[in-house]
Order: sequence, then C-alpha cells, then structure tokens
Amino acid sequence: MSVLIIVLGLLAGAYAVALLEDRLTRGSFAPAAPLLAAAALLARESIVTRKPDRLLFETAPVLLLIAALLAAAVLPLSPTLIVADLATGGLFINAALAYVLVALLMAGWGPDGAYAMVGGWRFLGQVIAYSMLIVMPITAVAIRAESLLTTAIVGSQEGWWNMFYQPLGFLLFFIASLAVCFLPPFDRPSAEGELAAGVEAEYTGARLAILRLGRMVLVVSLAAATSVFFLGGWLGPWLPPWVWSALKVLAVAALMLLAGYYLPRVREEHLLAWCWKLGIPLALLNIFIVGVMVLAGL
Amino acid sequence: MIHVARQGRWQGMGRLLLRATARDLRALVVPGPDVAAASGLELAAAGLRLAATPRHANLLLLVGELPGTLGDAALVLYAQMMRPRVCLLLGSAAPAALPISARAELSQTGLLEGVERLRECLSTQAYQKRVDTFSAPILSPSDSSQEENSDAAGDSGHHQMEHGDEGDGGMSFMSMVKVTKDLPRSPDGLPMDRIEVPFGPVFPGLPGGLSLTFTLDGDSVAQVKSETLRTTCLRTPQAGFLPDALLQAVCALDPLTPVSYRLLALRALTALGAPAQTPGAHGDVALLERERTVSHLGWLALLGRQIGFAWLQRRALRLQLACLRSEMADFPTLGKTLRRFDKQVRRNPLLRARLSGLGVIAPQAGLRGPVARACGLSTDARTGDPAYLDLAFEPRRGEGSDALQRLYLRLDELHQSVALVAAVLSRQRPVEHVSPAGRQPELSDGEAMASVETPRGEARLQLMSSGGRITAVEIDTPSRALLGQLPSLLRQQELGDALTCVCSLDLSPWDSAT
Repeated sequence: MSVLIIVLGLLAGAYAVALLEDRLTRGSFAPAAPLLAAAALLARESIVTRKPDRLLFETAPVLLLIAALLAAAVLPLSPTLIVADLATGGLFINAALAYVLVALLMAGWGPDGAYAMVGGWRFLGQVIAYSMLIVMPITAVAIRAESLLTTAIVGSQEGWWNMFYQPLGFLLFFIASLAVCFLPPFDRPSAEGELAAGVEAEYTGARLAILRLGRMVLVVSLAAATSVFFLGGWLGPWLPPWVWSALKVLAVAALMLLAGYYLPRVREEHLLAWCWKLGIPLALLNIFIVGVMVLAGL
Repeated sequence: MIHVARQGRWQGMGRLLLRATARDLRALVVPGPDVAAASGLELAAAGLRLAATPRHANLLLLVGELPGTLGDAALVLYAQMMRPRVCLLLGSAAPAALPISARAELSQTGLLEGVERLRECLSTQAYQKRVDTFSAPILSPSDSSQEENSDAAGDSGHHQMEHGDEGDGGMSFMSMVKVTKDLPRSPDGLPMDRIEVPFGPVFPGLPGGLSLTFTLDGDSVAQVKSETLRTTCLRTPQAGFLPDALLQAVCALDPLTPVSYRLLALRALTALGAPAQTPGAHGDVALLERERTVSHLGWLALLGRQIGFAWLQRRALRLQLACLRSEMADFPTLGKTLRRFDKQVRRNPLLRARLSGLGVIAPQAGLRGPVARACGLSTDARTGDPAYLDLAFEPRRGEGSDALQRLYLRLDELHQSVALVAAVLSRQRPVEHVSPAGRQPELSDGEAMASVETPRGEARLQLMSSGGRITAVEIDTPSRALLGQLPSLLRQQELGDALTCVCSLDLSPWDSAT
C-alpha cells in the first residue's frame, strides 16, 4: 500500500512541477496543460535514429525514471509511510542517484547524435563537480542523527530543523540537487540554446514522455530528500504528517524551479572551480561545525 | 496509440488525443523567433511554444520572405518533424514542395487566425488512416525513403568516430595506442576524436538564418565555418533598378532592421536628386532610435535563450513588443520600465560571471557599431549627422572588449535612444512612418553614397545612376566584418562559450549576406 501511495504522490508531485514549469516558461496558468502535453507526446511518432545503440537508446529513459523512483523509496512521507526504511537509507539515495549519470550517458550515447552525445558527456563533467556536495551534507545530517535511517534523520530535527542547525549544508545540498536534476542554472546536458535540448534532442513521442517524466520525478525525489534531510520531513503542528511532507516537498520543488528562472546557465569551468575550491571546503567546515555542536550536546 | 487513433478504435481516447494534439502546438520558426518578434508577432499569445529541435516540433511556422537557402532548410526541417505535423505560412512564398496547412497575413491577427485554422485541421485530420509521406528534391532519394529514420544531426554522432577494425578480430583487447595513433592532437597533447557539428540555420541559440559548422575537439571548438543567407534582392537587373524597386529591395534586405535600411535607401536616392521622402532630419532620429531600442531588446531576448536565462528572455521579449507597438508619442514613457529592467540585469552576479572575459576583441580598424564602441572606439555614423549633433549626441563607449561590456553598452544605448526620442518629441512631432513614394522620382545621372548607423553598426550604400535608373548598387553592412572574426575568436573555446561569443556580437545573417 505504501508503495502505491508513494508512487501516486510522486506522480502528483511531478504534475505540480510540470504545471509550475509551464507557468514560468509561458506566463500563463493552464491546469490541463501538462496532461495535454503528455497525451500529445504519446500520440506523436516515436522514431529511432539511423544508427543508434539500440539497447542504450531504449533503456536510458526508463533507467532515469527508475533511478528517480528508487531514490524516493527510502524517503518517508510520515513515520509509517515509507517504501523501505533501510538502515543505510542515507547511502542508498547516493547509490540511486548514481544511476542518473548512467541514464544520461546512455541517453547521450545511444541515439548517435552530436548534440545528445555532448549533452551526455557534459553531465559526466557535472557529476564530478556536484557529487561531493550531495554526499558531504548528508554525512553531516547523519552525524547529528547518529544514524543513516531517514526516519531517524527526521526524528533528530524535533528541536531545530537542519536548515537552521546547519544552514551551510542545506545551501550546498540544495545547489547540488539542482545539478543532479540538471535544472537551470545547471541544465548544461539539455541546454536548449547550446545543444538544442542535448540529451533529449533525439527522443520523440512516448520515449520523450518517459524521459521527461523521469526528470520531473527526479525533481520531486530531490525535493523530498531536501525536505527529509533539512526541513524536518513530516514534522509540523496541526496538520497530518503527510500533508506537511507534501507541502514541504512542493515548496522546495517550486524554489528549485524559481532559482533556475532567475539565473543564467553556469559555465563548466566555473561550476568545477566553485564546487571544488569553495563548495567542498565549505562542506568540510559544515561537517566540522556539526561535529563540534554534537559533541557539545547542542 | 497512433495506430489506435488511426484505426478509429477507442473513440474516447482518440478524441482526447486529437484535442491534446490540437492544443499542444510546438513551433519551429523559420527563419527564427527573432524575425518573428521583430515583425511584431507574439507567439505565446497565440498559444505557441518554441521547440528546440524539429524532433520536438509539430508546427513549422514560416515568417516573411525566405531566401532560397532558408527555403531548402525549411524542407529538411519539415522532413525531420514528427507526425502529425502542420505548416503555417505567414506572408511569404513557401517552397513549392512544402505542404502548407494554413496561410495568413504577416501580423498578430494573421497568426491568431492561422493557429485557429491549424487547430481545426489537426482536430479533424491528425490521424487519418493513410499516413502522409513527404518528399522534396532537396532530400536525396535515400533520405526521403528513410524519412522516419532520419537523424537531425546527420552523421555527426559517435559513429563518425569509429576507427574501423584494428585487426584484433573485434573481441580481443583494444589498444588505445593503436586506436588513437592517427588522430589529430589537441593543444594539450591529447589525441581526440573530432566531429563536425552543424549549428543553424535554424538553431535556438543563434540568430535565425545564421549557419555555423563547428569542428569539435572534445567539447572545444577546433575550427569554424560560417555561412550566411544568400539573399539575391540586391542583384541588379540588366536594365537597372527603378528607384521604387531599389527601395523595396533594400528594405527587404534585413527584416530585423527594416527602418534603418529604408532610410539608408531614401538618403541615397535623395542624394541622387530624388525628392526627400523621409520625415525630416529629427524624424529620422526618432525612427532610428526606436528601431535601435527594439533591436537591442531582441538581442537581449536571444541572449537570454542562448544562456538559458528564462527571465531575461521573457522580460526582454515583452519589452521589445511594447516598444514595437507603442505610438511614437508614448515611446519615452517606456524609459522608466527600461531603467528598472537595466538595474535588474546588471545586478545579476551569475550573468556577470557568465559573460565576463568571453569573446574578447581587441580594438581595431574595421569594427563597427556596439562591438566597436564597447571596445572604447568612438565609431559611430551618428556623430557626423547634423540632426544628432543638434541633439548634443555623443556615442556611448565601453571600457572593455568582452561580451559583458557589449551587454552593458547595449543597455546604455537603450536609455540613450529613449532620451533621444524624447528630445525629438520635445522639438517636433515626427511622422510615424516614412511616407510611401508616389510616382517614380527622377534621378540625376551620377554617383551617390549614404550611410546610416543601424543597431549593428554603420551601413553604407553606394548607387550609380544613368538614364533615371540605378545601374550599380554597392552596399557595405556591419555584420560582414564581424563574421570574418569568428574563426580566431572561437578557436579553442568551450562549445557553450563559443555560442555565447557569437550571440554577443549580434550578427545579422541578413546584412552579412549582401
């Protein structure tokens, strides 16, 4: 039952993300637009390029969707509403997100198109930049919770949410989340103005619909992870726990999309330089500060 | 699902698909959205979304007159679009082979009417039992027969990189030394595969019509080939041009800045003895400066799309349309909005980081327009124009020579243009449009030259007349010189940076083609 509820929740979240994205790009609010867009995509031809690596081409969209769903499997919407409360939940998310890279490399290489291929390699470069900024803030969160159980991590925020307890970690994780989801300003793999949609360029019809759904679900999963790790997950007064979770996830997803709307795409050299020269030292500082605070009993 | 819809089964589902397809129109604009915006079209208001690639488009929107090369490109793009697909023609003559679904005049009303007809057409005929096939002479027989399997990037993918059989029987250890021994070396000494990738003539981050081919060494640009539109409108007929025909030909030269080129032609004809048809010296200033504002805002919208800055793209586009649609008397009232916009653009730290140090061009002779002025040169045809001098005009100049300075300079020029129009309005009420010619003016025999500072730099027109006809036309346009700079400017730039450099120059493929 939990699985069904979580999957439906993710789909509803993906719909909300699509709505918001539509609102930002077109400036108008049309509640049925994502549904019509999806139906139109399913009704359009879905072709295979002339010399594809067929296995990679066909598997990539599905793998992206699966990776996004797996990441959400260890994230609780309420104390009992979770697919798998693994003892290594914090690590499991990293493992699931690693397959985003695999999916995008496959989507880049599979169709045998130049724009897609460059897009796929670009994501590899992006992973080198952001990966430590996903892992290190989760480490600091686990230090405070003294556990990798995601439910325990939420429980550790009964007093202060991690957003206030370790704001540096929250900021770094949020930025890295944008990069994982290849959302603007880190949309280098699918840049419209540079690669004519990059990894998405050669996908059409139903395959494109799955690829886009995978990306939306990924945004929701990362927003849920941010909520669990830094915003106290289901914690909150008056409302039922799952409502708090849903509200927080939607708020983070909206923030992710809004941030990209107001910022231009980051250059590759800047991304690498900022992540390694600034981001990683700050993440280390965050771990140190949290360690000291935990030792001091704060 | 397409199969189901075509067979007429699942009627409820079929109706939903038809409705969805008719509502969800993704447009690929030829020559480009920049030309559509300069023509006053608001695509979003008609419910259209821009598609990044023909693969994602179901509507081919043809805007204005298409030169031969763009007509061919339109055919190829149409062949690459997924079915069901439609084609809307706004005020131009389309290639004969293209199946036009609807035609309308080139205006916002025309666009709205055309889109409505397309929706009707899609909602009734999208899924017919017989699949429409498409072929055109430009598509080779093998391409047209494999239409559904054609590849947008041609053979520029990784199969271009294959190194053949290394003689190891395919299953044994692949020696990287063997594989890379004949590959060209990058500047860092690494042997890298190189691929040729086309960008344009219809590419989201470039001006519509500009076609670049990059040889990519990894993701760096090793070589650049550029191709502009091959317009033939200024090819002198054997009997020579009549004055009106010349005027029309020069106006059609660049749809991005029609007013500037019209004034250029009128000035040249006036110098040959034709009666003056311009709205007067100060009226010229107002018309030119309004067009400069529109053009700079169009450039900002394109820059926003290229660098993935959605806010900039949308805001600049909205302001561009506001400028285009405003009455001249109301134009200065946009100054306040433009100042606020300018502040917001300059305040963005990531934008500064994105453009700083990119596309550095040393000050040199031959540069014109905002690119020259951003380098600190005071190259500006307006400094020799008495009407501008009367308004105490002084060209703006930048302090650097990178893409960021070019952005700042154009932002400065937005305010300057609005101030100039306000100054003109305080002195006289300019004529809104250049008056159309009546009977053919009589020309004296001889030679004449005129120049106008277009939004991209100075354009010069030289005419020779004999027996009341123009027998020779020579035009010198600002984008041409910049196009020659591209190979040295882009070499070894990362792909995204290279495209941003190109965008920052504000090249017009139309005027560089002449």
